[in-house]
Amino acid sequence: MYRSWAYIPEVEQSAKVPQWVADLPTSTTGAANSVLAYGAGRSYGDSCINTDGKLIDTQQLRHFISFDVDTGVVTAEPGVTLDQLLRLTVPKGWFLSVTPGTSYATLGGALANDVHGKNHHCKGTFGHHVKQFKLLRTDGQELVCSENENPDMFKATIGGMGLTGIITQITISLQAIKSANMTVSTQPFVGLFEYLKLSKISNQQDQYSVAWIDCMSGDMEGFKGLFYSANHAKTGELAYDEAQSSLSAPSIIPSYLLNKYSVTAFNKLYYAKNKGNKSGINQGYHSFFYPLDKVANWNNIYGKKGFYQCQFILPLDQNEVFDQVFTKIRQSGMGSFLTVLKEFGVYESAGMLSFPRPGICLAMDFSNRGNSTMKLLKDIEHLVINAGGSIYPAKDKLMSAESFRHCYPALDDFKRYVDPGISSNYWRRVSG
Amino acid sequence: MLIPVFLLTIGDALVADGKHILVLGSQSTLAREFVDQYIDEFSHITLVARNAEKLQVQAADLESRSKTVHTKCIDFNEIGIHQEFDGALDDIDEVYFFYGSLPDQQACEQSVESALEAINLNFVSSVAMLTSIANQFEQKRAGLILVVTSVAGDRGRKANYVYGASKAGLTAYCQGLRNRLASAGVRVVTVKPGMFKSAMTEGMPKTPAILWSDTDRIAKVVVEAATGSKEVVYAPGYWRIIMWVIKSIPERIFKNTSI
Ligand SMILES: Cc1cc2nc3c(=O)[nH]c(=O)nc-3n(C[C@H](O)[C@H](O)[C@H](O)COP(=O)(O)OP(=O)(O)OC[C@H]3O[C@@H](n4cnc5c(N)ncnc54)[C@H](O)[C@@H]3O)c2cc1C
Ligand SMILES: NC(=O)c1ccc[n+]([C@@H]2O[C@H](COP(=O)([O-])OP(=O)(O)OC[C@H]3O[C@@H](n4cnc5c(N)ncnc54)[C@H](OP(=O)(O)O)[C@@H]3O)[C@@H](O)[C@H]2O)c1
Repeated sequence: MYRSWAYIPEVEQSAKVPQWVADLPTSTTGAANSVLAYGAGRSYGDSCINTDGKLIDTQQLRHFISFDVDTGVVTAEPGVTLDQLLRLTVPKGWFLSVTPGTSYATLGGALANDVHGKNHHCKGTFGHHVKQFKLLRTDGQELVCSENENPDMFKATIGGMGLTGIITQITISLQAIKSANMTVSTQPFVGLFEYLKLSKISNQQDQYSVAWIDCMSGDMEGFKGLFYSANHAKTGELAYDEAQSSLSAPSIIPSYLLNKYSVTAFNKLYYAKNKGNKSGINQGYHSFFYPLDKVANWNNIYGKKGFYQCQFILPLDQNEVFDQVFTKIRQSGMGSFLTVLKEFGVYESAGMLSFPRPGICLAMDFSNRGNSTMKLLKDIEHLVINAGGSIYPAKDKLMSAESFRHCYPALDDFKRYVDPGISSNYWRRVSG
Repeated sequence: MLIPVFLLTIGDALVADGKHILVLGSQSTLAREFVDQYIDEFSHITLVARNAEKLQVQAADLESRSKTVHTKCIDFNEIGIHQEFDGALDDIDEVYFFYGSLPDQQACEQSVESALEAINLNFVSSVAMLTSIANQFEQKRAGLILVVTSVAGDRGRKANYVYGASKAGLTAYCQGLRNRLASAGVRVVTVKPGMFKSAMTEGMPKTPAILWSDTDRIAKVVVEAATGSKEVVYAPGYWRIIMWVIKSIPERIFKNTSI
């Protein structure tokens, strides 16, 4: 059964599972029979769900087509997961140029959401490293897209949420590494300004940086956080680091276990455990990039009702809005288990609807308490939109059509590239 | 170095620097998953299936992963296919039988042709190839033959006895072959899966859910069977108990059930 990673909307859908690219449906008729490609379902919101139509599960479309070990250019089918790719390329000294926080995402999903990583300030987004892809439209037409060939369709499809066609083949360039290890430093800090200072210094010397924060521990000046910066290690083995889940969250944990008190306690404990200043510690790439992948089905900890993710970017001159957001969260009494802060660089987006842009990006999660959670998220949405910020579709299931238009001014232009035979719950909500 | 796609045939001389496996029905969902999980165990692979275009896709995939690949396009329903394998196994260390088809039971009841086609594919063609393969491995005094049959062969059921009979025949054949080849040091392994999600079962209602496995779980059992020492393996293992229960129901009661 198919659903989104956060279990909301509370629907399960069945899907067609083509085993080969050649078996993909080549013509569907009209919007009533719309289809939507489904990667690994690691999107939290409803962008990977299409309850009015059909899903096409692309996970069996996972052949490699070529791998040039001298230049680090790899071509593969869209259902290849980041983990499957790393298994092939790490031993040969190549790593993803940009990776999100889960290795279970597919190449197709990474392209369709133009995902970002902890190195946005120096590498941009996933789309910046896509050299070419093939796109199958539901009328049977197959387009080769790159910066030179069908360049508009290229830009529309990167970050295009699967709406422009089914991606059937992707060519990306990788970055060279000397070791499978990461050299990681941790620094505790207090408040947004200290964070910005650390981020500025780190951006000049480190490829990766990200901060974990406890947003219940104080206001904009007072919250506690841990700043992580990292680089690929210079020495060590080039060994694939297996995505093995060593733990598994029981399938249903009563959601009352996850309340303000337990979340606060967790965050305090996490801080206390990690706050020691550490620099230059070596660790495997997997535990640095994909810590949550170690717990299979960790999304179950939020219980049956699921949870909401909330990820947005605020322009750098809108710091006081952070304060307002934090105040709202504290007032609501809802804690965010995992709150992550990251400064984005000034890269021009690779896609028409790409989420990343210059500013500060905050990601939070809230277990679903019904209306009160929705109200909190709606309040945050208004604050963000009014401040000229943007909200990440891969994590969103509430944004209004009006807000979407504010975040993504290229919307009307984008609509010209949408395949009439494709739709999603997300698209029906925001395209109005 | 861009790894090119080139197609060779079985029998081409090889410089063997690692294990060479022969996969019959390489395009089955289970075979693909097995090859992925077994990837570090071999250096050469010969893929046999009936769709040439898909064979090229598979070959490119495995070549990208630094394997030496050979392909052979065969329809297993054709008579005389065993000749393709005569004298061709010198370099091959392990042979895997994955292909098969689940025929429409009702069609098999109405049409002799349908019934015989299923029996021919699932049983007769395997016997033809196994005869050739077994003799060559016996002479070499080495080799592994792993055949995927099915729990459906453990007891004939009204819902799919034509399929069941073909798999039962193959299971019994492998059992005898195992005994014959034991002294020659050739392992014959039978894997009997329960229901799992694959191209064969796409569109079937997957209920009751606990009896349905994902392909990767079945493939893992195949890998363990290939590398371990057991000779008759249920996949997943609990099917041994389920089938033991099902087999022990007396026929006169079984007749009146919907199983
Ligand atoms: C633990 C965790 C950490 C994460 N960290 C980050 C992060 O750091 N940065 C970030 O940007 N995101 C992050 N994400 C979100 C995730 O990377 C994205 O949602 C990603 O798109 C998921 O890929 P998927 O393969 O699961 O695709 P799905 O979620 O299944 O689908 C996503 C979109 O891709 C489309 N799609 C999939 N395959 C194709 C195809 N073949 N052709 C056309 N369209 C297709 C779908 O239609 C859908 O619109 C994280 C998610 C998790 C669970
Ligand atoms: N899935 C289950 O629930 C289940 C349960 C028990 C046992 N099994 C057995 O497991 C094995 C693998 O099956 P699967 O589930 O992975 O299904 P599958 O993907 O449908 O695999 C069957 C393969 O056999 C091939 N084939 C069929 N007729 C052929 C012919 N005449 N010539 C050449 N190839 C032919 C098919 O080729 P095409 O792709 O060209 O059609 C297909 O690749 C089979 O032996 C099956 O009987 C399956």
